[in-house]
Amino acid sequence: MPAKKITPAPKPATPTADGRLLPPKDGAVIRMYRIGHGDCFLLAFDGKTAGKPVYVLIDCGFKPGSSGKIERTPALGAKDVAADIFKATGGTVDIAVVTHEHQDHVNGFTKTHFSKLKIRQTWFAWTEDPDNPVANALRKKFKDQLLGMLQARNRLAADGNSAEVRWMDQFLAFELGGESETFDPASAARILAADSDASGSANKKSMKLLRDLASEGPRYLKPHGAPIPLSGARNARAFVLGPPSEEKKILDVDPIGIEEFHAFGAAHAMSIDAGDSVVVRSPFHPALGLPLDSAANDPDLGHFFRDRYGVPTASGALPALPKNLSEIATNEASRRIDGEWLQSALQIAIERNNATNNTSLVLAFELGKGGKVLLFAADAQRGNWISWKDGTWKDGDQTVTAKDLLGRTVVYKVGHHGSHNATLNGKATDPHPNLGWMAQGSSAREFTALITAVRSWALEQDGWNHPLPAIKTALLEKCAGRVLQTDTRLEDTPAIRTDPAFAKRTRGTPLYFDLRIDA
Amino acid sequence: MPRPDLTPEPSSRTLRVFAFDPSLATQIDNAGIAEIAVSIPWEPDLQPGPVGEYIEVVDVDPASNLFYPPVDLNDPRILAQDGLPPSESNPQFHQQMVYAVAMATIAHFEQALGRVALWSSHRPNRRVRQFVRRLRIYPHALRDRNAFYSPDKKALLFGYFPTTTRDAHNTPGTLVFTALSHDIVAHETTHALLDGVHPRFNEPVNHDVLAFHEAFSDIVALFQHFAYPGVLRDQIRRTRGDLAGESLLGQLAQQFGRASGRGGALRDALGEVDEATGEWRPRKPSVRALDTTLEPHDRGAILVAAVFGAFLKAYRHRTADLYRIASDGTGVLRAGAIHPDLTHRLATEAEGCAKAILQMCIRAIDYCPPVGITFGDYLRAMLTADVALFPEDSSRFRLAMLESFRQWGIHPEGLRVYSEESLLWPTLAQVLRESADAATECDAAGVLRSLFDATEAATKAPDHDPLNPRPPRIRNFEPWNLEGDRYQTWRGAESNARILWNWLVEGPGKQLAPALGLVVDSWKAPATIFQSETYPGTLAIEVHSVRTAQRRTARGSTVTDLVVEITQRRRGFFDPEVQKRLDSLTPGSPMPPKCDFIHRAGCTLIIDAESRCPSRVRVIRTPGDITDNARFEAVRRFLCEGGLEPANAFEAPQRQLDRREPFALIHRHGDH
Repeated sequence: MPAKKITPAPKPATPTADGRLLPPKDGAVIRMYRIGHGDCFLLAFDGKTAGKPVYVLIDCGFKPGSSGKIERTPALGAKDVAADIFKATGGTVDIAVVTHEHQDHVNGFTKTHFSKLKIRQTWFAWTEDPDNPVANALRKKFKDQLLGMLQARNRLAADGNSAEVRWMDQFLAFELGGESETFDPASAARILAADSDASGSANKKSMKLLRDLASEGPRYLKPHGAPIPLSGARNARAFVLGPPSEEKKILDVDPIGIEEFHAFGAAHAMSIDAGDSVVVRSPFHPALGLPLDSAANDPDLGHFFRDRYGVPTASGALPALPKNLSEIATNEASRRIDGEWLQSALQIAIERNNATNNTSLVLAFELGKGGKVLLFAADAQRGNWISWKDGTWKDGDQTVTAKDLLGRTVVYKVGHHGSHNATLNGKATDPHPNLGWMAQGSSAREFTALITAVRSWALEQDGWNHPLPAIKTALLEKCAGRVLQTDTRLEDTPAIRTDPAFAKRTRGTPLYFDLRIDA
Repeated sequence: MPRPDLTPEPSSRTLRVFAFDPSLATQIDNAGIAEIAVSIPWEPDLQPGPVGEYIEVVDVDPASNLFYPPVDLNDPRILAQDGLPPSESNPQFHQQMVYAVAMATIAHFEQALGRVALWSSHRPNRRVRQFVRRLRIYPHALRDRNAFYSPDKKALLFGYFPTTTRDAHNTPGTLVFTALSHDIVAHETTHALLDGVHPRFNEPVNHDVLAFHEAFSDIVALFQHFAYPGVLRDQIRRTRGDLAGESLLGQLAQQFGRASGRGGALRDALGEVDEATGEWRPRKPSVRALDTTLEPHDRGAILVAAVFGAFLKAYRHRTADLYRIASDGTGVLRAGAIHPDLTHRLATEAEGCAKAILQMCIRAIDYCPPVGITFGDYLRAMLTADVALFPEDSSRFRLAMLESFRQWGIHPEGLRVYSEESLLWPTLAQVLRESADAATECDAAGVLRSLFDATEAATKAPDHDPLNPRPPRIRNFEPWNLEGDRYQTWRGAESNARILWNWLVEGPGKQLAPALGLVVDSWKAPATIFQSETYPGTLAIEVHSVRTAQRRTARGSTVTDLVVEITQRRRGFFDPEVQKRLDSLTPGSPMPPKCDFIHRAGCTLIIDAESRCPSRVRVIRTPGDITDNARFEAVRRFLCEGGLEPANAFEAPQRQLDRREPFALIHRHGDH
């Protein structure tokens, strides 16, 4: 009987010693943690001193409940990720990057998980800079809006609009953070009422932790200018692409003005006082109106409101008007607008969420001058993307453009879990940055996309289509199957069978994928 | 014997409104023009609200927990002073203003279309349709910088918000009411009127549909504004009659731009601020503008600009003689103010042009394909409708329109010659001549006549869910004109549709189906196309309300034509694999209860009810019939590839909002 042919286990893509993550010479290795529906990446760049790589940690967060939806045994979570980061770096991260303040990017950064880790620098987007007046104004506006959203949410709840409340809770959970699967409006109210910056929220606590841990302090980054050398690295440098330095572009997911954001908060402030009591102010002198609950019983005007709007009287039921069934009743209930004004809260919540995504710190890491580029787009949406081309980088006497950086990109961390306005589609000849700009020439041969999504979990969330099939198809095509997705085992990644070079550069475990980038 | 009543019934009611919005009323430059008196049709039974035949204003402000008492416009004290004086702090004036402006818009529609306006029917479920007599208006519905028409509620919702801008025209903290902006009220009313004409018209299946809706509403608001006597007079006096001149347009544009945070499209349509000099300049036409502009408001602005360009051309043409007279033939006016008589004459011409353009634009909506309108279609519709009413283009409006649209690069797909003649929609005779299919050979004239013979009357319930499952035997088309009760007219439209459906599906009209772009047999067609419930084995054909349109005969008398919209439906799925699988099933197989989108195709017919001759019937087909896979794919691609607004991760709530109020979102973006 011939001996059964044994397929040798794939060689680890990354040489490891004591569990340390080590890059190849002049290259890098990316460890994509399968933390859940959220981002956590550890990058190791070749260091000046042999055996001393430079470690960059980008985000650590997940949507509560999503980690368990990845099929693997045993179940793993943020705790295991944190422990591995400690082991892989030997306890010191050179640069921690917080791309933006959303639950699924920061809630893993807790004292329990990370207090022992040493961090040299923490990088934030300029929008987090406490000394930048525009950033402060933006944050103040966001906070006003959050208050308005929470109050609208409570009124929606009081009126029994369960679907809208669930959605509002989802949005609020993003903005306030935490590891809990359920949203607690009461504690949210306390947090927002407490001070001007909602610093009691889990998100803010995570941000503060990272600020405090940084021994060399935080850095707030603006796009364009000069590339930032990673200190201690042999050749790696970082280019900042976003967020845009103009407030307008941050809000440009949908073309809305800053004023509108403010108007909503202010409009709510008109009607709702802090605490449980609702104090209503009318746009007119109070004597000009009749309270809703007693209008139907008004001796002179009661009939108008009963017959034309359908307010029930104290005695109850309403007669249907008119008798002709083929004509709509004059007091038809579906034409009332009682909760309509609160719908704008939902709209604002959506826009607000987009705006925070657009504050994403977008970084392109370059391996040596003119070398390969690793693009981490966080959750950047349209306004952020189109601003990348609005400036250039001065590299000595050379000028580097966004088109050049994208053209040299060999790894793309897909924006916002692959949702549909977070990867702009287009052609290489289009005037604004898009997928078509990426991976020109030889870069195309190894171009790899990283999607941080747990699809089965996302679809349970009122059908979040993450990743959007159209985008995933486009990426699979562009990458020739080299697409790593949080919830998909490495063995099931299409290119593993078709692209031996890719198979050699990758390594998968239940907790992470490693992707090696040679210089 | 009763004593004779010597007081004649008034024909109109005059009400005062803000000309633009309240912020302009406090500028000394606008002292004479900040307020206008609008003359609207007299409604004898107008109730407090106001609640009339078309409109009911219900002033509930849920955010403030208040009702505001309804205004009684028949109060003699109010009648005696042409309505309440304009006031921001009196909610009853707000009620009066929305009523007045909405009624003025309705009057323009009725005049242009020659029939009473109907709102779209209320559909509590799939089987029932109910007549909606009155559009409801909520002047203080939202605390938001927004105003929109709600197709579900058959209502206009206006918001108010505190302004935070501090400039020469705004004081931070003061409230801005969208209900006090003339143009916003006219714009929203137009959305409601259009929905009453075309129920499926706003389904976005290409880049032009949403843009068209915004543009059309803006066009109506703009020209309704210009058509008020006196509005342009002041501007003409200042600019010495040069309507295209920078100062007039610049000023108007700024006013539109400021008007309560909306009207950005109008502002952009008229011109832009030069970034280098900071000065306002009129927008220059560009044939390439449409290629790169996809956002609905920006795209719509191009259509507004094209129509506005036509208005200027027509005005110049019509006033050239006045300039010659006033300048002793030199064409060059002397320096200084122009003569008040000349101002008056020029203003009259400008008003006349505005009114004519407005009517031309409104009349065109009967001549559009039933779904998926494009700007090119609209141009064809305008020309065809205008030719029907004014066979001679003596005022050169059509020529002006043609030239302006060409300058903006708007032309129908696949057009070979850019001329009035080739742009008119084809007649049935032309369509029959061009279709080589032998099956279409029939006695078209005889078939058409049979429609009016009405001997074959309805006994079966057609697919389009009539209110009454067993309709009575109907013999004649019900009239739809400016007389009669609107409820009867609405019932008549339903029964007219039934007659036509019978003629088309069961009667002799069947022979014309291929020429009209309708597919009857289901055996070769994809299974996702809706099947007839009445006749298994055939594809469902839906006839929408049959209405009337005015036309002038060669001898000058006015006749009415029938306007018929016919559509077929196909289930669409975003996933091409699902689509392929379901398409290839046997026709009639059970289908999933839900699909991702509905694709429609069909035609609009304009039938000459007098001559009943194929050469007098216009056929306006959608490109491709319901089995046309290329068209179907184009729609799916448009919907899948972000042809809509750039949405975001939270598709469910966004979809929910869009479905609830399709116009709400698009209007939030009005000013940017």
